[in-house]
Amino acid sequence: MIRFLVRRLILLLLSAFAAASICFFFLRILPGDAALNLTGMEASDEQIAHARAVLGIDKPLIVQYGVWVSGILHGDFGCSYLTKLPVGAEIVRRLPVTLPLSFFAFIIASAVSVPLGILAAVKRKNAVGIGISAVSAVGVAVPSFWIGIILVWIAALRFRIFPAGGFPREGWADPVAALRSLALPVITVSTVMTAGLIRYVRSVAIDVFSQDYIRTARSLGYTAFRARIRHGLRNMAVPLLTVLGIEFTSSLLGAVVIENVFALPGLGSFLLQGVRSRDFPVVQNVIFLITLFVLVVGFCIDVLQRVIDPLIGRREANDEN
Amino acid sequence: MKTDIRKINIPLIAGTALVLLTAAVALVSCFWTPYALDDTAGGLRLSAPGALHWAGTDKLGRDLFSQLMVGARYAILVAVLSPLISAVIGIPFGLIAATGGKILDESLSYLFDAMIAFPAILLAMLVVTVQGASMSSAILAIGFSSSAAVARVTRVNALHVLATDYVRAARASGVSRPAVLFRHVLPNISPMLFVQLTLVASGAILAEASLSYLGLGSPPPQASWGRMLMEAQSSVLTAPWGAVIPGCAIAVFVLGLNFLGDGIREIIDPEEEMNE
Amino acid sequence: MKNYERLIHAAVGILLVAGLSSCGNGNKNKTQEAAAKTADPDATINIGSTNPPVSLNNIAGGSSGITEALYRNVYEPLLSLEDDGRITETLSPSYEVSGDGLVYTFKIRDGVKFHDGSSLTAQDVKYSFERVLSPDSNAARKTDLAVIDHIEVPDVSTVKIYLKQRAQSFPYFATYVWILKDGTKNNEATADGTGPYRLADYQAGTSLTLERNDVYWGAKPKNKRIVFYYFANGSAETNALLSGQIDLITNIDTPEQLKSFKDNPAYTITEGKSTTKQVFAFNDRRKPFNDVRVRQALSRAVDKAALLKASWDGYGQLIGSFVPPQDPWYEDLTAVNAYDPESAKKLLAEAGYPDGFSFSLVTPSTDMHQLSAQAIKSDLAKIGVTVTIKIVDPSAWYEIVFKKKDFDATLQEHVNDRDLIWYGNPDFYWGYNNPDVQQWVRDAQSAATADEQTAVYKKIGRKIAEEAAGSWLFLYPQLRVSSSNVTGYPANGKNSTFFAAGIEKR
Repeated sequence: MIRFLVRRLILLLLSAFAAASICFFFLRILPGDAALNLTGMEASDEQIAHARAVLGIDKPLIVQYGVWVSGILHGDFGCSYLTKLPVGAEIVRRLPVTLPLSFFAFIIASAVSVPLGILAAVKRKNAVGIGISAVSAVGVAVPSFWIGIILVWIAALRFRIFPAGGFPREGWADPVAALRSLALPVITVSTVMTAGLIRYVRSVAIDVFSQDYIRTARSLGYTAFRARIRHGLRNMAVPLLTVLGIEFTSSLLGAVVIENVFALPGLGSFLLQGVRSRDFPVVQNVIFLITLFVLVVGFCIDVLQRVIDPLIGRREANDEN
Repeated sequence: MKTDIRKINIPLIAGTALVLLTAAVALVSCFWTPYALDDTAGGLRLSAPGALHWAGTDKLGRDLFSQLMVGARYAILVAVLSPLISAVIGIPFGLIAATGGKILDESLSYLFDAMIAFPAILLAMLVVTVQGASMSSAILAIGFSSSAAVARVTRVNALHVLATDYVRAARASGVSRPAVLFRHVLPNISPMLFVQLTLVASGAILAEASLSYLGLGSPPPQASWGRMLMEAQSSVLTAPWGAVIPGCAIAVFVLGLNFLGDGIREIIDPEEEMNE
Repeated sequence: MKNYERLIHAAVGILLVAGLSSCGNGNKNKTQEAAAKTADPDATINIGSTNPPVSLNNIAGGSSGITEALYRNVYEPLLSLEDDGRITETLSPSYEVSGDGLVYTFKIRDGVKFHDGSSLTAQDVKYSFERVLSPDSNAARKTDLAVIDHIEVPDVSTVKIYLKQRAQSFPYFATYVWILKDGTKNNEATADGTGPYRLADYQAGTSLTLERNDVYWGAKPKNKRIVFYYFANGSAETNALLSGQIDLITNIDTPEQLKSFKDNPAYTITEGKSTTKQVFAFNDRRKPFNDVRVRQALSRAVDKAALLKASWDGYGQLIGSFVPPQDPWYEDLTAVNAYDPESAKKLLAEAGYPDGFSFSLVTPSTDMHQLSAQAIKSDLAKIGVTVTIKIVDPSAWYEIVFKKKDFDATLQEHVNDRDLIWYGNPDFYWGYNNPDVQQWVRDAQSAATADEQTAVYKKIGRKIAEEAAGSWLFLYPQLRVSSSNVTGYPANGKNSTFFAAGIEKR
């Protein structure tokens, strides 16, 4: 177990390093002048050269890379080319919008999809099961931001129940307003996630419920319900955990896109601004951090799987006796 | 002889129909659309669907139905090219992992896992930041990101086939490794690969739509459905059809691809009977 | 379900319905309320804008959002550019010019304090000017201000600015220099000025809050707090105004945005005069655009009045040269090269293109430009000229058109006033090279009096119109919308300024 942990940790670090390298070098392979964006129409060549020196982009690439990486290890993520303000501080300022959004969406999606997915599996031959499957099939086929736009139209503009966008200036100091601002975005992100999760849970459930040990339990006198709950759920735990972990990260990615629909001042809009204005420090740091988050979640899932797996294996063996 | 309705592969039929419909519209759009894409004559901005403009007009007065048709062309392009790219990269790597030694296999597997972790949309953003918004940036980034998943599926299924007695016997009797790969492995894993590729295709469509919506995909005058949604958003209160219609188009096509994948999977690996 | 449960459900239902249905009625009551009340001196005015500052550092360059939020609100210049184009005294109550026009002596107002309490001195003024001219500076008008040779501070309330050569427009250039405290650095997120407001809060890209400075040296603002909210696009802004989150939108980008506000007594639409010119620019270096007759033909072939109507639906106005109505040397030159397709065809034939020719039009991707491009394409087709529209995003436009000058013709909006001098620079992207005009530009700066300068600029304006150095399609309107109970805001938004002290809310 320890050996596995160490190996997995090394892998995590290597992947993180690789991600950082991709983020950095990708942006700088092709020509494009960050200084020109700032100096504008009237600038002379000396002005542009000076701007470039100030931004530090006149040094060799490896040096810039080294500066960035060593900065990260100290918590310094560099400064935006455009605003000259530290990227790290800005990221922290925006987390209270993006994190609650993805977190709530994840909770709702998980809570709704597991029971519905199992229901769809169990009742798959009749109207209920087919209905749930059909709706979820459509749910994964629509772009999430489209649902957002429709919700804005109906709930915000037409019926004025929720704000059409934005986040209160005071932030969470006014929790009611903050929650109202997040309501539609959370619904939007969780809808598509739920649809996908239902399909997945359904297939896992079908798979597990058709296993032999369920039949064995039935022959021992358990009702279908008890058999599935006692044995099935436990065996569904591992694949479910895996997919929930993946969904956790995709809720974050979903939030990044959805922020644009609702004009939320979170991490996603920060990233988008950076992409549009070719603000490399912003883009590389935000993408790197999100990827790091994904890698860490993946690591945790792997470890959790290892922890749970041996337990299940042992208990099943005992039950058969 | 009554046909048992449960035995008819509904997903396969529905899926094929929807995909063919989209392809047909795309094909027709190459030869004819009701209006030219950049035709703003008449200055009829944001008009509702009617006899003159079947799907209405957008905020510059351009015909939405024509844009819809051309959008189908781009959707088909994405749906074909992205899986192609991911297959060209992913299948060879997956095969190498399956047939290489243990160390090669393990390191490649970890590479696949790491790549799957790097989100497609973020990779696309990286490409766009440098190259500027374009459809090719989107297609390349999405194709590249999906190749890891394809590689993984290739590897798992290839290993499965390689472990069968039939193949072991063939290797033992001296059939060369490449021959084994081409004659036995590839044909056997093709159905599963195809299913995976339909998944890649439908994911690519949605990813490209998101990118275009964010303004990072195909620039005007290419009328991607995602970009139509971006342009319609600002007038959704006064002209909601501009937002509803392209969204439905995306949904129809992606649904078709998903059904196709489901249908093929039913053939290879039918759903088991649960224990009632 | 027990009975009391039913009651509770019913009560909740009624409350919900009541709540929802009252949402729409807010607006109708506003006008009646507005008529009854008087202005609230401690009001908070919420303003919507799609132009956020990139940073609060005035020499950082980037967007003009910083000017909108801070010019004359937080920071003040020696001389101010008013909304109607007049130049008025602010931190300098009077100034003198030497006979040869090379020395400007500014008196500094007494008793002015910065928001941190320290007093304004001549040294602060010297520092502020030198800051704009420093190598790090990307400030607007820096190249114009480079006419300054050196600055002296004879005493604490006098500043002497020595110029390298006579510059008739120097007072105008001086309105661009914000007076900061001597030695200010790293002010990307803070602001310490002398203005009627102090910076209370700044959330980059989201909002910016100003609060009344109660020890301001001049007339106190008529409101207590100004909050700028920054939106990603016009429709988010419109929604915010409709739902009451904001009281005012500073800039309407398309006439569709006005749909919910027209003929609606709860809102007021103001149309001011902007200085933004929609330019259809030719690459005067290239064939066939180097031939005057071709340029004139293309100018005459475009129906500008129809384009204006299609773009702005009755707002905005036509212009005949690169001079907005607010410049002192404005003349109505719309009759020069006016819409006349017949004469356009004749001119083309004279120039040797009886069957027309084709070229590519590099078009920035914004809606306004695309509309213009479409109109040009269809109008020019009628005289046999084929236009290929090439759409690019703004940074690509910079590269291709502005830097490399690799284009046939292009579209662009030019925001500033008094920028006629670009036609005297043969290296500017449109490459208009007329030695007479270049000499006149020099003459204009070295003019002894303002009237002399105006006369020279008028000559330039007329010349470039006659030679169709470019084609000026129309002048954007400056459209602002506010709730009817909010008044007193500037209508013109000259050079992106937004002086907020006069705004009243009933």
